[in-house]
Parts: sequence; structure tokens; C-alpha cells
Amino acid sequence: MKKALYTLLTLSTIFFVANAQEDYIDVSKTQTLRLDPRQTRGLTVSQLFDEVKFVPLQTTPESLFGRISRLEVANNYYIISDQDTHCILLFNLDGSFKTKIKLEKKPYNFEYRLIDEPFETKLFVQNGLTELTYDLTGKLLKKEDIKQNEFEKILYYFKPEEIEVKYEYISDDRIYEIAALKDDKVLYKVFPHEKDFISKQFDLRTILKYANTPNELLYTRPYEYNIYTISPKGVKLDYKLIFPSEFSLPEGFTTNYDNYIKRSDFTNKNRKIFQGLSSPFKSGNYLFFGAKGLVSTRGEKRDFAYNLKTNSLVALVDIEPDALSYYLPVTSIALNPEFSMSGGFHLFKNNYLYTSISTLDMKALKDQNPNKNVKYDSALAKYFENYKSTNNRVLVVLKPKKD
Amino acid sequence: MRACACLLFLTLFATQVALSQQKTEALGSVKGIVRDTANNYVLKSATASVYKVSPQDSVLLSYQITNTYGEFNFTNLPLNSPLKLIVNNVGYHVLIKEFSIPADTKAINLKTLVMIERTTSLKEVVISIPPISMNGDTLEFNAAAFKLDSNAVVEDLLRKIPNIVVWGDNTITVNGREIKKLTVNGKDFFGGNFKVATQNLSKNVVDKVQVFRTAISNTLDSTLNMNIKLKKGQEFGYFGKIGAGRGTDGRYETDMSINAFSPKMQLGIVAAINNINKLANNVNTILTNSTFKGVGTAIEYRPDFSMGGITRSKAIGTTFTYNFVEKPTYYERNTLNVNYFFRDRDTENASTAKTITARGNLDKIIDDNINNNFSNTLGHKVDSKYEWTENNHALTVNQSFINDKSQNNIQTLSRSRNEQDLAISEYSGINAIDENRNSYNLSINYLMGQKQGKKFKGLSTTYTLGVDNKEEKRLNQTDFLSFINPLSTQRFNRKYNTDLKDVDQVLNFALNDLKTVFFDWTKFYGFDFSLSNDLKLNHKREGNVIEDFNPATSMYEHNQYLTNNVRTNTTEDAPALIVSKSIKSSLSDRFNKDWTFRLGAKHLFIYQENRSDKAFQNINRSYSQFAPEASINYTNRQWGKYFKYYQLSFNTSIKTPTLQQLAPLIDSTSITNIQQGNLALLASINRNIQISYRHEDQTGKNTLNYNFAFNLNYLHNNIIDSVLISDDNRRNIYPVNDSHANNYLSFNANIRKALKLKTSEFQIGLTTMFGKSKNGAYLNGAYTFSDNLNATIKLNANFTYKDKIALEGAQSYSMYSLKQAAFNTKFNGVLSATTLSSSYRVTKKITLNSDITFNRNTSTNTDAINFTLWNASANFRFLKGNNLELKFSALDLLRQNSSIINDGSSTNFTVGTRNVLTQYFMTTVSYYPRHFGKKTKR
Repeated sequence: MKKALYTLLTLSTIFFVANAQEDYIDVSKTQTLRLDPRQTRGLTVSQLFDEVKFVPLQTTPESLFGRISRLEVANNYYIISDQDTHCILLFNLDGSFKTKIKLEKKPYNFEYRLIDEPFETKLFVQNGLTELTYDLTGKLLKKEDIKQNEFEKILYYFKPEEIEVKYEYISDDRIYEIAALKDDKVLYKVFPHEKDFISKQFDLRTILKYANTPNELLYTRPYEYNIYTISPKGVKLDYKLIFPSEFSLPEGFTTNYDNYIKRSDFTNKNRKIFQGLSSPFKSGNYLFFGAKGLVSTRGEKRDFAYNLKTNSLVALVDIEPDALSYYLPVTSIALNPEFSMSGGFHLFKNNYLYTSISTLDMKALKDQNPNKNVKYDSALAKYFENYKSTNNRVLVVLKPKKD
Repeated sequence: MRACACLLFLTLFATQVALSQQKTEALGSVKGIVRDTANNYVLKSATASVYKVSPQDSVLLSYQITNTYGEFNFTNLPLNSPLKLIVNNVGYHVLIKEFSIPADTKAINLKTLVMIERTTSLKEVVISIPPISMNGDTLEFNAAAFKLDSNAVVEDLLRKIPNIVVWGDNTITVNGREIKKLTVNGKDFFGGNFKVATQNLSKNVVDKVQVFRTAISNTLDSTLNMNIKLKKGQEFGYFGKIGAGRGTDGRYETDMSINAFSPKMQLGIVAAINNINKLANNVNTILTNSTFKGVGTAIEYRPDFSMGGITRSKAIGTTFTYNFVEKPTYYERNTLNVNYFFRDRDTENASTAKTITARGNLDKIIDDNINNNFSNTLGHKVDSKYEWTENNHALTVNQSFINDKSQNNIQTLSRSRNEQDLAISEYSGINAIDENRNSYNLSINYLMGQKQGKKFKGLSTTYTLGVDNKEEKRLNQTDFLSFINPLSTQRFNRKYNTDLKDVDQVLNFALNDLKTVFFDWTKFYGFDFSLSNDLKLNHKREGNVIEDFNPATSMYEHNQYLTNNVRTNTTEDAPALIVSKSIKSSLSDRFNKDWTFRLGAKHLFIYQENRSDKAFQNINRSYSQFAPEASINYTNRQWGKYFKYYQLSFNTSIKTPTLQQLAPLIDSTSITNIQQGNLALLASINRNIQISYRHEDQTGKNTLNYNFAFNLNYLHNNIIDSVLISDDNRRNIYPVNDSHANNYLSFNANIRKALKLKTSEFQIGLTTMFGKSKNGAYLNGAYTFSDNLNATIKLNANFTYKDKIALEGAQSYSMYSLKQAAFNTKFNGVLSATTLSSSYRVTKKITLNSDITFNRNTSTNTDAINFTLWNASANFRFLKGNNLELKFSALDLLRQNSSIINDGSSTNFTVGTRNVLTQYFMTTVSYYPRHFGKKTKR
């Protein structure tokens, strides 16, 4: 039932309530960044990344999957969950298929995470009201039925401290957007809402759920342009982004447009306006983030990397392919204006950033590649040689530069 | 054979044109990359357009939007001729580069083209407007970028835009995808027919042509729409046609259509008077066929040479639409449309025919019939439609009021003979009918959609009311002369006064997607159920006063037996519970496959109550029948390849016998057709199975689309005729239930292939229909099955070259066969027609048209009838705005037109001819008044 409510959440609107009892948000080190999306600089792939690797994931009748709903990299495996086929698939780092775990089909999506810290040798899966544990060969180790599904409400897990960050945490007749708990004891809770907000709001949070920056998780809220850091110690407001007025929501937006119809009417009429930020993460001097809104034009600038040292803003759509990427774009943003809809970034872990490109997009990018004499590496060359429109996605592994 | 030759000719011609286009123009290519070097990135959605430069003018050859690498690459450009590249991008200065492609290399690389950002301090003189731009998800074509004749209309503009094709059948495609809806400033334009907007609106008042996708419920259902955005201040205007023609043989025609529009309102007035079988049944027919551009090869509103009889027609009508919301959206609209149409028609119909009736072992009866029919109809129709949509509520109210007054005079003379050619009887009749009919129809539909986050998923309800009031006065004079049995010779002179009132009410109510009201949405995954109820109430009152002529008194006297009053109340209720299960399988970016299974438990309850002055007609009947429904739908969409749709459905319905079938008052005047009753009649049950398949090409280029459908009806207890024919051709007909199974099978298929050549379009299509039925009948007590087969195949090919030449070749073939195994009789008939239509625009002011149809008719026992119908015309336009048209037409040039009767039923077979329109020549003068935009004060 709660899962159901969560799904409904994504169809409703959000309603903020002020002056609630909440814990302190640290604003002592908040930086204000003034960014103009019309004034971006272009960079080549090799100016932004140290390494680029295209990994075509092997396609066999057994390994065929739809899209990547979650990616993990551990113990020399790419671990992919796919809700289309209801499977968790394991691929070797060269893209060859290892094994898959076929899960029972349930009405809603299943979730998984790596456990057995810090070795990450086991997969904990929650499929409806069944909890399952597998090892990385796909062997079922444990199966248990539960009464209530709480898995999805865990936003993040600070490993050394064993602290769980939960969202939509209910306490004192209020719902808190974020709460940190250790051994079921609340350490802190922030962003409270009236209890009925679940039935009338719309959650636009698409934080990069699986960004592994040790002991830090960047967080954004709908209809504002702030980037917070959630850590075991508390919540900090790190960056306050300010955009030119033509991209900004009017003041008092959430109170003046307090229902779904009013908001969708406003956003439909003001397509350029950013409705919030998404998927923030930091790598070296770069702060990566997306701007939410009704994107529809090819080439529209909605996903950015901001250099905190040089104060220059790069639109990911403008990253120019060069020899490092075989003159191929490293994301499919240029073809799919809504980057997050086409998969976005799946994971940022151990300084590597992961995204993927669909087979139809790979073909289009290769056909358009003006550098016809480019020599692809053996994996890509083989992939294009035996190209089929039913192939699996191609994983793109990027290592962003430090400065 | 002739047909094949025509189609072959057309195909060869099209190929030849395509090849010659390629031969005459050597092909070169140009490429380059558009870059902002100051900010160090390529421009991905810049517009690059290539123009051919000539001293007089520049002609747009092609346009592209730069790709993900900022690159453009044009092919098929002329060699060694001066060309100009114009690159536009929002926020940048326009870049113009002149070049020519050398004949030796056939290619030129312009490499990196540097675009310079526009700063607010620098005022720029706009040198050129980009022909195309992207605005959000809308593709916009800027009308000002296309130079056209001052008299050009929107259709001429569309023809100029590369990648937009206006096909021979008026379909519009953009990059191979068909436009499903065309609006002007977001609103339907005079009924929504594309032609009214594209062939009337001047190109000069158009700001932009916008193309975008709309999702109805999900992206898979999205359709491609086109909106014509008018320039500011040009949202007002009027257009139309006033034309009159005079021809030989007393032929005449007059057409008028005057239409005006403003941002919220549309008003049209039409009128037509003619005696050339050119009939319009509504305002729209006249409106869509009076466009400034001209009708071309369209055939919907032309003199109908195949129609039986000659009709003098007068019509006048008006249409009015008011949009309470000036800029309607999918979620908010409020529109009222009111139409009025009046028609006055006089028709003279004359036919001669031969009917052969098989009687098993007995002799066949051959009737020679002569029919003359004079009729006059005066009809008024007012109808209105009100649509209101706000958020998740939608209300539609449709109303119509019809008044028809008609007078009919039918004279029949029928002589019957046997196979030895001996006369057996003669029937002559005069029927004079005066009818006055008023009817009112109302339909109210309310839909409440799903509310965010609510368990209740909404409801739909429809109420319809139909009130019909008919008063009929009929005089029937009949003489029946039997040469075999002089005693059965009869003469009647009878008057009928009928007053019929019928009130029909239907209430449909449905609660959909009920699962979540009772269960958690995760329970019974994929299953859903809905409840519906259809309630029908019918009240019918029929009063008949019959009088017979008494020769002794020379007076009409009351006929006690036939004079009667009957009231019939029928209540029908059909509650249903529908359970559905859907199975979806999809692989992102690869395919979507959906199965939907529906199973409905429906029960029909029917109660019929008859109250009559005649006690034997006081019959109450009730029927109860379980009527299950089931369907399976399957859709398969393979991304970038095709979309396939399969459907299999089953349903049950019943047909209850009428009082006329159960216990009629027997009218002895219909000597050759005396309807008797049968109180033992049961309801007949029809079980229907439909299978359909549709294939839609998603490749976007040279598409091949096809579909087919099977329909099988299986009837149990079908009510059939049991005919008793006397030797002198008197017939008594009893309705009886057939204990044998009767069935109908039909099949239809459509295939369409479209080919876009460089400057021309070629379409080829095949339509086929096939029907097979097995009906029972009794003839003089002997049971027979009649096996009927009919088939129609039509192959047509369409070729258009720019807007200069339009050619259409069509071959149609239809046949039927009728077999009564028990009597060892068989009839068949074949009708074939080969048509070659052509339209040639000699200059901007002169157009020539020609249509030739070769007809061939053959049938059992008769000689083949062949005739050729050839119509031709020449149109000349005058005045600066081409507003004046002079048209010379020659119709039925070979004077061969005729209309064939070639028909069969379960017991007989008829061949004959009717009077038709034949050769005439006509001169027509038309004036097209038109003005767009507010009048400027001098």
C-alpha cells in the first residue's frame, strides 16, 4: 500500500509547510553561485575526462535486457537491474555476460543493494513483500517474507557509521523529507510537511541515489535551486544557485501554485523555467547537476558541470567528441534532450562515472560521426560490425578530471 | 486487360519522369560544421538552407537542421551553378556563404563555419528568415521564407516545403508521417476538412506552419497534427465562390459559398441550384468543393452520371461556430457549432427491368417491369453541437431537428410470363404518397476522468432521446389481371392515413476501472473490471385510417378491418460485468507488446407490450437472453520499424419479431407481396466474430501500409420468408424461423504503398471487399439455401508532378453470384470499370481536365453492355487575384452513358436499365471573393 502511495506521489504535487519542528540546517558555509545557462563554455571530451571506455554489454537471448534501472560495480562485475525483464544481470568488466537472477514478477518494481560491507559480495533484493539474498554467482542464500515494505524509503546508507538515511519519515504527526537513523534512533530530521501532503503533492526529487561520495550525499528539493549535503553529522546547505529570471520560478511559487493543475499549467506555458535541480554530484572541482523542466528541443542545455575553481559553466550537451572517445559523444544527451529519461548517469563510484547509450542511438551517433576513418577499439569495432537494432545498451565508463 | 495497360502506362510514366529528373540534374553535395568558436562548441540545432541564386530570385532547394556533431550535409544539389548557404541559430548572427560545386569533384566541404553570438548592443538588420526552426517540440515553417505567387494558397506553400508532401488523395505527410488533424490558430476551420484551410487561405496571411505530436493517452497513441498560425491582425477574413453555368439540353448549375471568420467565430452560407445530379446533403459538401484553389481531380461533388434518374436540386445552408475559449487546449475547450440546411429536390426516375424468379420444379416466372417515379422532397435540418471540456470533466450535447415533406408518385406496370413465354398475369399500380415527418434527436454525453490520487477512476454516461412523428397519406390504385384464373383478377382503390409517433430513450452508464475502488492496486495485477448498464425505452403509437373506393357510390368508405390504432412499449435492459486482463511486455528502446483480454457477462431483458383496437394484436412478449462478449487485442510496436494491431472479438445480439411479423393486418392490395403473420415466431440470435489486422509502417519513407478485417455472423432462428407463389404470380409471404443455420461472412482489405520521387509522388492502392452469405427461404413449401457471393476489387494508382500534373488510373471489378442448390439455379453478374483521370495545369491561369471511364457489364442470360463515359473541361482564370474563372465542360462526350440494374436476392434476379444523365456541354462563370486581415483605413 505504501508503495502504491509512493507511486501516487509521483503523480501529485508537493506542499511545503513552514515553521515546523525540525533540526538545524547548517548554512554557515553556503556559497552562492550565479549561473547563466546562456553563457556556457565548450570542452572536448579529453578536457573533462581522463578515461573513456565504451563497453557493449553482450547480447544473447539469456542476457537481453531493457534499460538500466540501477547499476552497481563491485568485485569486477557490472550489476544491472532491469524492470522490463524483472532480472538482475551480471556482466564482466569486458561486457561479457556472466549470469542473471530472474525474479518473480510483481506489480511494482523490485529494488536491490550490495551488502556484506565492505566486501560487497552479496545482493540484498526486495521484491514486493519478499526479501532475498544472493551471492554474486546468482545463488540464493536466503529468502524471507515480510509484512511491510520499507526498503524503498532508505535513501542512503553510511557504511562505517551504519547510519540509514530515510525519506518520508513519519514522526510527531508530521512527515519529514529526510531523517537519519542509527539502530532505529533518530539522529536528525529535516524538511517537515503536514501529514496529508502525500495525497496532494508531487515529488520531483531525483537525486543521484547511488552516488558513492564517501560520507556525503548531495540532495536537492523540488521547486528550489539549493544543493544540500547530507552526512552522518547533519544537513548542510552547500550551494545556493541563482539563475537569470527567464529560467527562474517566480517568488512564492509553491504557495501561489498550490495544486497540480495550476503548476502544470504554469510549467506548460513557461517551458524554459527550471523547476528544480536533479542528480547533483561532485567530482574534483566539478559540480555536476541537472535542471528539471519540460525539455524538448534537441541541443537544449539542461545538464551542466560547473568548475568551482574557474567558475566556468559547461553544458554536457556541448562536450565535443574527440580522439579519446573515438569522436563519439559520451552521452546520448544530444539525441535525447531529456537526459534523465534516457537513463542519465547511473552511478558515480570510486571516481568513475557511468552512463549508457541505447542501440538505436549508438547507430545514429556512428552514422553521423563526421570522422569516418576513425579506428574504434576492438569491442566497439565488433559491436558495429555485428550491429543489430535489438542489441543491449552500451555502457559508457568515464573518469572525470580532478581539476 | 485495358485496365492493366492503363496502370502499366501510369507506372512507366512515373518511372520515366523520375529517371529523367535524375538524368537532367547532375548531383553534387556540400557539407560543413557550424561552430561557436568564441565559446568553443558546435551548434546542434542550427538551420542550414541552400538556395539556388539567379539574377531574378533565389529558390530554396533544401534545408536541414544540424546534427549532434553540428554538421550539415546536403546531397542532390546542381553542379557548377551559383548557390547560397544561409545558417540561422537563435541568438546568433545570420551566416551567409556563397559557393558552387565543381563538376569534377562533385563535392565541396565548407569545413567549420563560425557563428557569432548576437549581443544586445548590436542591432541587426534581419537579412533572411530561416525557413524552418524548432520551437520546443514543434517544428515550424516560416511562410515568409518561401517566395510564391501573390495568389498562392497554403497548399502551394506546403508543396514548396521540402519533406512535406501533399499527395494525390489530399493526404498530407511530413517526413513520411501522415497529418491526422489540421487546425487554424489551434481551432478546427469550418468543419476540419483540410482542403477548406489549405485551398482557401492565402499564403500571404500565414505566419507559420507548425507540426507537432499530440499524445491522446500515451505516447504510443500520439498523432501528428498541423496548425496554421496566421499573422497577427490576419485572424479575420472572408472567402468563397459564386458561380453559375448554362448548358445545352436545358442544363444549369449555380453554386455559392460565402464564409467569414474571426478569432472566435466562423460563419458560412452556402447555396446550390442545378439539374445535373450534383447533390449536396450538407453545408460541408458545398463548402469543401468551392475552394479557391479549385477541385482538381476530386470527385465527391460532381454531376453523378451513374445515378439513376434526373434530379433538380435546390439547397441553401449555413454553418456557425463560436469558440468561447479563444485558444483552446486539450484540457480546456468550449465550442458551439450550429448548422442549418434546406433542400428541395425533384426527381424523375424511369426504369425497365426483367426479374426471373425460380420456383423449384415448377416453371420460372419472368416479370417485365416498367417503373416511373416522380418525387419531390423539401427538407429542413437544424443541428447543433456543444462541447465543453475543463480539466477532467467533458460534456458534449448534440441536437438535431429535421422536417421532411415529400411527395412521391410511383407507377408500376409488371407483366408476368412463364418459360414458354405465355402471359400469366399483369399487375399495374399507382402509389401516391404524401409524407410529413418531424424528428428531434438529442444526445448528452458526460465523462468524468480520473482525478489525481483518487481511488475512483471516473465514469461515463450517455443519454439519447429520439422523437419521430410521421404523418403519411397514401393512395393506392391496383389492378391485377390473371390470365390463368380469371376469378383471381382484382382491383383496389385504397386510401391510407397513417400517424406514427415514436419516442426512443437510451441511457448508457458505465463505471470503469473499478478494481482500485475495492482492492489495493497491487492485488490481481493486470486485472480490472467495470460495470455497465444500457437501458432502452421505446414508445410507439401508430394510428391508421383506411378507406376503400366504392364504385357503386363513387365514394371512399371506411375499411373497418384495416383501420386501427396500436401502441407498443418496449423496454430493453442490458446489465454487464466486464473483466479484463492485460499483459504487457516491453524492452526499452526495442519493442512494446500488449495483450488485452476482455470477457463480458451481459444479459438482455426485453419486454414488449402491444395494445391495439384489434384484440388479436394485444400481444405481450418478453425475451431473456444471455449475451456474452469476449475480445482479445494484441499490439506489437517495434521501434523504428512497424506497428501491428490484431483484434479478435465475439459478441451476441438478438432480434425480436415485430408486431407486423407476429400478427399484421393483412392488406390484400399488395397482391404480389402479401405479408402474413406468424404468432409462433421466436427471436433470432446473432453471434458475431470479427478478426482484424492492421500494419503501420514506422520507417517514414516510401511506406507500405495494409489492413484487413473478417466479419462472420452466425444466425440461429433467423427470421426468413416462406413465399407461396401462385401460378399467376400472386405471392403470400409468411415470416418463419429457420431451424437451419444462416450465416454471413465478409472480408475487406486495403493495401497502400506511397513512393516519394524527387519532384513527384506516386501512390498505389488496392481495396478489396468480399462477402459470402448463406440464407434460407421457403418457396411453395420447399426449403432452399441460397448461396450468395459478391466481391469487389479496386486497384488505383495516383501520380502527381509538383502541382502541374495529376493522374489517376483506377480499375474496379465487382461480381456477384447467386446459387439455389435445391432448384439447380444459378445467376451471376460482373461489372468492371476502368478510369483514367488527368488534370494538367498548363499555366497559372489555365487548367485542363479529362476523365474517361470504360464500363463493362455482363450477367447470366443477357448480352454484355459496354459503354464509355468521357468528361472533359478547361478552366481559365482571370483578374489580378485569379478571382474570376471561366470553365467550359463537355460531359458524356461519346453519348454512351447508361445505368445498369444488375441485382439479385435470395429468390430472384433482376437486370435492367434506368434513365440517366447524358451528354451536355456547359459554360460556367465563377467569382471567388476573398479578403484576409482587417481592412486598413485610408
